[in-house]
Amino acid sequence: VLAAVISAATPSFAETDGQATFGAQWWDQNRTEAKFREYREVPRGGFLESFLISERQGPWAATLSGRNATFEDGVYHLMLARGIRWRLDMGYQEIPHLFSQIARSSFTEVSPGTFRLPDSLQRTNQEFPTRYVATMTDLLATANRVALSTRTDVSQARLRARPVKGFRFEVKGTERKRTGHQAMSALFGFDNTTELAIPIAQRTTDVDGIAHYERGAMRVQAVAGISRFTNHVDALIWDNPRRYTNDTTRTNSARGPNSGRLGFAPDNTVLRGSLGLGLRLPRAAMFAATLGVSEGRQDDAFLPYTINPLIPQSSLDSLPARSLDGKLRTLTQDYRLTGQPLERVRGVLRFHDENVTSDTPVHAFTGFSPTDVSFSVNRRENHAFESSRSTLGADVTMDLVSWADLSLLAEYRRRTRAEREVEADKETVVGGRLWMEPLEALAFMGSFQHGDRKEDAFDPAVMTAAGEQVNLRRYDVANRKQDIGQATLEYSIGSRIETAVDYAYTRSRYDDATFGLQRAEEHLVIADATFKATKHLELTGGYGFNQLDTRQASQQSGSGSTPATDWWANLRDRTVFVFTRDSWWAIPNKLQITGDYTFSRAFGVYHLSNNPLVPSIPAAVDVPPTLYRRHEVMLESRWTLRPNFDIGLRAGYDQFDVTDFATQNVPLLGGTSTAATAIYLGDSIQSYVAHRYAVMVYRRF
Amino acid sequence: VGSEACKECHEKQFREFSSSSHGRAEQDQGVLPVEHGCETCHGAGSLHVAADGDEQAPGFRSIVNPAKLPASEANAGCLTCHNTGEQFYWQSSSHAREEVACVQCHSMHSSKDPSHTKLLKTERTSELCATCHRSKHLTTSKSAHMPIKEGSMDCASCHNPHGAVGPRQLRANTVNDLCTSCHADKRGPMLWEHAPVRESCVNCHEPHGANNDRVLTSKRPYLCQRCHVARGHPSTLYDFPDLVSNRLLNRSCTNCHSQIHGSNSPSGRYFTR
Repeated sequence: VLAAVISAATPSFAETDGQATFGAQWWDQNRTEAKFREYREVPRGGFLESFLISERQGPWAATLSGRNATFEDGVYHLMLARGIRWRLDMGYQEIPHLFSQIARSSFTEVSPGTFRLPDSLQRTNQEFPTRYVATMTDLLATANRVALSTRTDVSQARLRARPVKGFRFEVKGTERKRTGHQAMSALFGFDNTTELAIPIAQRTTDVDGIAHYERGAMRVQAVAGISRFTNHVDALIWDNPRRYTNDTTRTNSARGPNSGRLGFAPDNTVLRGSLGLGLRLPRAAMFAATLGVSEGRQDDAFLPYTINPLIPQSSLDSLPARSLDGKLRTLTQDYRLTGQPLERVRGVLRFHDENVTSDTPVHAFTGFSPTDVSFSVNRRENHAFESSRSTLGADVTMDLVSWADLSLLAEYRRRTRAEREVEADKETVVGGRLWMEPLEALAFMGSFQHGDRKEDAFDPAVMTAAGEQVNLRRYDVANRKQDIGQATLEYSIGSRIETAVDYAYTRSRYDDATFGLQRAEEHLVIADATFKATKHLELTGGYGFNQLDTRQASQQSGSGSTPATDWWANLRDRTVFVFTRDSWWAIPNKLQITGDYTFSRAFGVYHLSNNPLVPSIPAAVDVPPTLYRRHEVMLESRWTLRPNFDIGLRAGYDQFDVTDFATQNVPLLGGTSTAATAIYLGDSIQSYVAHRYAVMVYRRF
Repeated sequence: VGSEACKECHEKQFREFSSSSHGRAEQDQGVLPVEHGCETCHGAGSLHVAADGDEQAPGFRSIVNPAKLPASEANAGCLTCHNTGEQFYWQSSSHAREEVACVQCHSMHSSKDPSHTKLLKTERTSELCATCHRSKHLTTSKSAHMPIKEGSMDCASCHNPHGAVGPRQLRANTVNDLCTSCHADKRGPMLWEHAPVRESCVNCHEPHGANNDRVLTSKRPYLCQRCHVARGHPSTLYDFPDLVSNRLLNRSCTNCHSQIHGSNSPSGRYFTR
């Protein structure tokens, strides 16, 4: 209806204009794979693809625009302005995320976050544990479909004003409401894991105010804001499929309570503010300084250690506190001096520092119950995680000649953190970039940088306490040598052909990592070209290739006469990408035919090896390769019936092929480390083919 | 000469300019640092007008086309007004350093963004960014990606192309501040933190796109086994025989450690509660 109204609108004001694109579509898909509609609604029947109404009367201006109106991925935007003194923008957007359409579960969600099984089933499984697989197979055969999708509704409003010369302010508010269901696992032990479609009901509200004042060479900008996250479902409670009565026995698979409980993300609030100063200096120099503070708070009520009433610590009284009263404070400083000290030299000197400190009280917990089966007495204090990150850097660019410049980069980075095996590290980064444009038709850019990160000290006691191997080096804090190279070549052949090639290379080496990630090497090449064959035919295409190779190691512990054995995983992730985008005016100014084609193919190889020193250790066997391949084609012919009125026909083809050992053919009752007893949702990823056909109308007024 | 004189020959450009936010500025000259009109960007037009359309006349080419000026000169005009908010850090941005001109991305006279409020040269921001950042065209097309090609997000959702305090021109002071502005459920602070999560989300996720579920930088369990090889589990790297078990199947390690971003439950030390 909206489409018809907009389409039929006759400009009643001289300064009203706009457009509407609408039509009717039919589509089919041979399998109900979610990937086809992962982040979008593909409409069936009539739809309004986009619209714009813009009007101006005297100092007032208004614009209403949007796309995919009334659909799950709709976007709407309204702008009202009076000159440039006042401007109000309001927007509403829906972002769908479809995970699966084939998931199934025998659990019933009796209230948000509480999932039940029939009592009779729990009783049967408890009394006849050896029949568990057969009983559950029968039950899951009649499992109901469950929705696995979320939707984020984003509402925004932003008021900007320039009431007087030199002063501006802005107030903006955003609310994100996320609803739906997504998969999550929970467990009573390795051999009793259960996957459920957990409810998502979250809201995040942000309000920020910005004021800006400018006088002479000085600018000041102040920002203050608050962000509040609310989770409307606090906990997941789910029935234990193996037990009807509570138990604390640890010796059999049918152990544990009759239901388990797991805490969802807690509510939290962040208060933030910053002050920025900009100062124009002589010789085209500029100094900018920013000081920002924020404080994150979280004080959600704790759940008891366990829901199992047979465990004495199931009461809240066993806890050292009723809530965390967590406070994380972040102080950010940023200073930059930009300038041109010499006629041919310009540069930036910069310092950036983030410092996260914790005011969270430290509580001493007497133990924990990770699966609600029993309570492990093991005194442990909560983390008071703190960290800092500083970067001091300089970038200098020299104009060598009018068609070439050389840039040099130097950076010193320093990080500190608490609760880790490496509590401080530093990295020096040096690099350079050469840009040349010797001909109007030819441009080249090449850059290289080398970074060397070194820990201050490694504390093996932290690894030992965590039960890890002392020769393990975790890549986020390990010593690292990193090289990053990049080159771009752009070349125009006459006025008809434009080409460009990009190459990027990253190599990270963790030489001290006897175990853990040892190296990662990535190459990426992408080339594209545009050929303006005639005045009416333009062909654009490109090819890309990306390969990431990683190597990691581990060591199988020895026992008795069996020595320890090293293991390695060499993984390769290779992507090929092709696209074309073509446009042909078959009848100039009347009939235009456009075509888009995108192809991507991702191939993963998982090569495992070990060093069997004794026959009792079997040789490692590779995991099967994975493949993700997608073709997407869209053809459109568009006929201009009269000025400002076009009609079009569209045809689309989408093919997705997948081979993945982990996410394909996921059973409802599947493997655990000891037996086929895990309950999954069966939300396997599937190959599919889909077609789309649409009749379109384009109206401008 | 005033903008009305320009209208006589450049009616289309005048009309588009008038209907844009720049056109509205004419109402409020008082709050602007400079006089506003065609000559603000194109320079004094008297000689050009005097040439009366004669391309051979010496004054005809006296008019300035910002697209043909060096970036720093072309940008100077824009920065007279656009030096706050989004553009506060322009001078020290990587785009300024690389001498990107405002008019390489923005068009004053024929913008293509649907609402005509950003005056972009392409319909979508991400399309515009990919004209230089070609490699991101590939990465955002990988199997697991943010809703960029579907149009629900664009590069500017996370990066401020005009410069920012944060690293890589992010729209927040830190990587995690940016990620948790949408994924606020991961924000905490949690009772039990997973240290690499607290330090940087990109330790495990590649936000531009990946071939692994949840835009992970590597497939589970190998991503987890980069840092955890022994604790309570076999210290082998899981291989083919593990295919039948939940060590490799479905969500791998997070089949059990589902609270991997941190837990607020007193029993959630191993992220199972």
